[in-house]
Amino acid sequence: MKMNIRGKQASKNLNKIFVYSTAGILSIIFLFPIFWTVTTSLKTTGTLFTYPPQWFPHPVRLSNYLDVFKDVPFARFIANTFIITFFSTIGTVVSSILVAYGFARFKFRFRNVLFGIVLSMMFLPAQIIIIPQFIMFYHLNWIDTFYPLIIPQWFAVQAFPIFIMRQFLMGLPKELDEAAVIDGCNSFAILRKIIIPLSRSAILVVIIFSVTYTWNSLLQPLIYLQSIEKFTIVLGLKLLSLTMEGDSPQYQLLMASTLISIVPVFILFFSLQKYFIRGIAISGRKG
Amino acid sequence: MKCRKTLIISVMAILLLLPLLSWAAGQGESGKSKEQSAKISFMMRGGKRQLKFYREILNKFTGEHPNIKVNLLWAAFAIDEYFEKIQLASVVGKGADVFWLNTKFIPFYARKGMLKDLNTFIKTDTIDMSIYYPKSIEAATFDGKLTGFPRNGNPGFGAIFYNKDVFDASGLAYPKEDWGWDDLRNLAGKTAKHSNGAGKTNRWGIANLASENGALNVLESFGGGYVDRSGKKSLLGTKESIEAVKFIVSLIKDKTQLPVESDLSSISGFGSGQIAMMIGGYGYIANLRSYAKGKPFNWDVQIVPTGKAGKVSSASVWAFYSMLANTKQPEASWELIKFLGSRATEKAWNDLGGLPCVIPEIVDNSPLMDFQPYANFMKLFKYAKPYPVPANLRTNEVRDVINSGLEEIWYLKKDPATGCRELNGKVQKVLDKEAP
Amino acid sequence: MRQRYYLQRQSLTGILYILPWLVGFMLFILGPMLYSIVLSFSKYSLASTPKFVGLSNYVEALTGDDIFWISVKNTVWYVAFFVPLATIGSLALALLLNNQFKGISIFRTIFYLPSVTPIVAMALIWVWIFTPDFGILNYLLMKLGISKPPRWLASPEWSKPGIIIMQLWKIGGPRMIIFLAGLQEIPERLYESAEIDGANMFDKFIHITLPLLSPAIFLNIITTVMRAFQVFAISYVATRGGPLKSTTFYAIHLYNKAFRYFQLGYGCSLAWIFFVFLLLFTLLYFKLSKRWVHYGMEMY
Repeated sequence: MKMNIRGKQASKNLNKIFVYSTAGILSIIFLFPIFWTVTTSLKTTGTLFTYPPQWFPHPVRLSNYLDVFKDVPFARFIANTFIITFFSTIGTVVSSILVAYGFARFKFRFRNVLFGIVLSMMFLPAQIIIIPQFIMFYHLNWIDTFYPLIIPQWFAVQAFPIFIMRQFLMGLPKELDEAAVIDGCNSFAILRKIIIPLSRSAILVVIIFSVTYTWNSLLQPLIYLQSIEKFTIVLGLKLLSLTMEGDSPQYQLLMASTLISIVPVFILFFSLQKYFIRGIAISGRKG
Repeated sequence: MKCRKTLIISVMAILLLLPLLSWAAGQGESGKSKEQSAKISFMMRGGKRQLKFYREILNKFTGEHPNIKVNLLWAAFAIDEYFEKIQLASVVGKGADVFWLNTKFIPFYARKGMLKDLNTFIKTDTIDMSIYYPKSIEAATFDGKLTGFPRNGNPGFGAIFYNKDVFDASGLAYPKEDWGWDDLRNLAGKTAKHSNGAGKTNRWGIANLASENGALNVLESFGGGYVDRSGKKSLLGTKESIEAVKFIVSLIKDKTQLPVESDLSSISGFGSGQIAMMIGGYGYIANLRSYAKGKPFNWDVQIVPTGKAGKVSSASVWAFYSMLANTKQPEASWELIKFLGSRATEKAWNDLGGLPCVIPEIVDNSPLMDFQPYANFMKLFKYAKPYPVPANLRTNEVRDVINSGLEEIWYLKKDPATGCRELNGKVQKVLDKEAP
Repeated sequence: MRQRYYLQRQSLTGILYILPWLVGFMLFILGPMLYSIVLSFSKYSLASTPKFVGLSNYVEALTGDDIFWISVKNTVWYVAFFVPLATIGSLALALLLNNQFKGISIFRTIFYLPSVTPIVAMALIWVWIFTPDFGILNYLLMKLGISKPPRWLASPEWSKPGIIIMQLWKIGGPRMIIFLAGLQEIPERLYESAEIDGANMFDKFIHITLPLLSPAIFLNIITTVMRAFQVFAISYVATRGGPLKSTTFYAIHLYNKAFRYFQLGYGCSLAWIFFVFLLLFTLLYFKLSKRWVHYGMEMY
């Protein structure tokens, strides 16, 4: 009996060592590109192409980070990206909760067909609708504004958040709603008082997905934003990566601006990550 | 029950928001035009340097014309992406009011009737157009209409840059103006340096011949080319073109020409002495000057070697400011174009070391002329030949077919003769299509 | 009677809740889709009105367009290699991180980070790492004794593997999190009772983990496949379809036709061929999945 417990303890320790060492080695590999980005962002034009490469830049050139803001209104790009991300994320969260609640808790005709359509939108190639959308937004006078990037999100055009929310709501016991109905609550009160507080972690998942998606999107801003004053960070990165003929890009500036662009999302994820896994229910059986 | 009402109201509110916002967006645009002030948009492209220049210029412009508000639209991307962007904006019949175009693409827009004739403005304002290169005005004139105001000249891609330090160290004489392609091959072979039994190349003799513009230059100098002047016939299958392609391939096989898959940027490779010579255009001068500031070395420019067809500096692409035909603000747009194309702006651009401006008098008296490579480069104007544009205006399509076909040859996946003949058929097929 | 009234009311309320999506779908998706069907049967380019040409765009795509088939081949190649690698990689990572050890959340964060990196930024970072002559990767490979390391994005043979490596950097993203969530839904007591029956690690994995994880596997495979078929941005930024068309994927070809050559009608027909194919693929997948997805996935 004693032996068995000791044996179990030993195997648990062994397992621990295995997990830590494997995860440690893998994270070194995964972090390497980030490390290399940091290193490069601190180099000078002279040390950029030295061979063998310098692992740690010498001299360290911190002013690369200031140079990013010098000729290009990069601060403006950051502010724009924040604005777009903020409003479209709120839109995604609000609309996907409403829609998911409708799909998860109510019976109506064609519900399954409609939800099937929601899901199939996950597989719709963006290129199929981009031209007509462009023409439509032009007639709405939305070209070169943030509206094409924000307004559709208020109408739950993203299928994945709806799916995540619905699966989570399916996992919440229905008895809670029923008790509330008996207490005289209507559906909106149930959503507000019971469902939303219980699905906080799923909402955070939707927030992370939406922020990542908006923050990183390329094709939509590329097509709809034209004034330099309205550019996003991703477009700013493209601006900085442009080179004159025969020249190679200034990687140190590019890498500095790349880091500037990813830090906010990293912080967001890091601060929310503990809710993250809790918020995803695949089978609809959680809870 | 109450809450259901709230729900209905909130959903309706969201739905209402949509037309409201679009109405508000529309207001901002058209509301002001009724008054004296005008709002126009101007689309440019380029990197940091151009962006800085144009922001300053526009500040100056608004200082002089406080009633015209210019919205700077920027296609921050590679030149091809710029055209993708203005084309997309034009699908709906509305691009920017004023935008930058060059000889590769101006025929497309001119033939589609999308560009305003500037002659009437020029007449009423009695602008002296004789200060500009006649070639530039010629290139933007279609059916008697001037569809673009001169912005910059470009003597083409026919400059051979050579690293003097490399030549000195190898004890070789610098290339002379009357040299031929065999002399170039000779010098490239002598300056190339291999080690490890030719397994590793430490220095390449020549770079950039196997590029879109570089190869065009060799082909045209040999008497061939991509597409003929009528824009209807492919020249890639001609004896001369094949010979020229063979010439480039032999240099690749000898490991004297920098291979296309190399990641050695030609500027830094040239500056650090890993490349002895390269063919190039104007952009290289500005880049090399800034490179040499950080890491001084000696270099100069010689005009392209003489081939069967003489000396040719091909891919001479001129740029213009054009006005959208259906702009709502023709007067304000014209004010902007006039300002951008004025002698003062051209001079400012020229002094900055941008592309040669289109006013010969400024070019000739430019302080840059004291700089030997620049002065030599400017001799190319005499041999300049425009980039061949297909008559059916499928410029990008033809370019892509040619580039990917030649790429197969440069990667040595196809031999020059078969490759060229196949490519000739493919290009001809696109040229035979009707205009898109 | 009351019951019936309640149900009607319920159905009305339900529709009210999904109304935002319904409106958004009609306005922003269905409308444009219908218009693009019309365009796909016409010749349409810059500053002209669409001209009806019947099926000729479709015929041209399937029979007269060399690059169409090149792009199909490239895309299938990519999907065939990327999907298994990414799925297995994510699953392995999830199994590794499915522990309550101290500090494991830091690892989860580390592996997740790549997936929040903007694709343009990611492409720039990796192009820089892959640079054949000055790049850090080939430097390391040469240190390891590989005298002629691949030329990565500059060579037609290695460009697709290069792009797959870039994308595999993201295996710790949402896909892995979904696996992890699925793993945590498996009740611990199942493993305990299996242990009492003398099952080893492998048995437990095959007989408990895999079947119970099948809904997550199902979801991950289909979303990964769909994303992989639509691969666009990474090639657009990093290689622009080259070298030698080796990374000209279907979406790149479509983009070129529609936005580079301005054959909008033709572009729409390419998009519709694509969509119909993806739809059929999905339906087939759903059908086949009934055989191996373990318990009623309440998707429908």
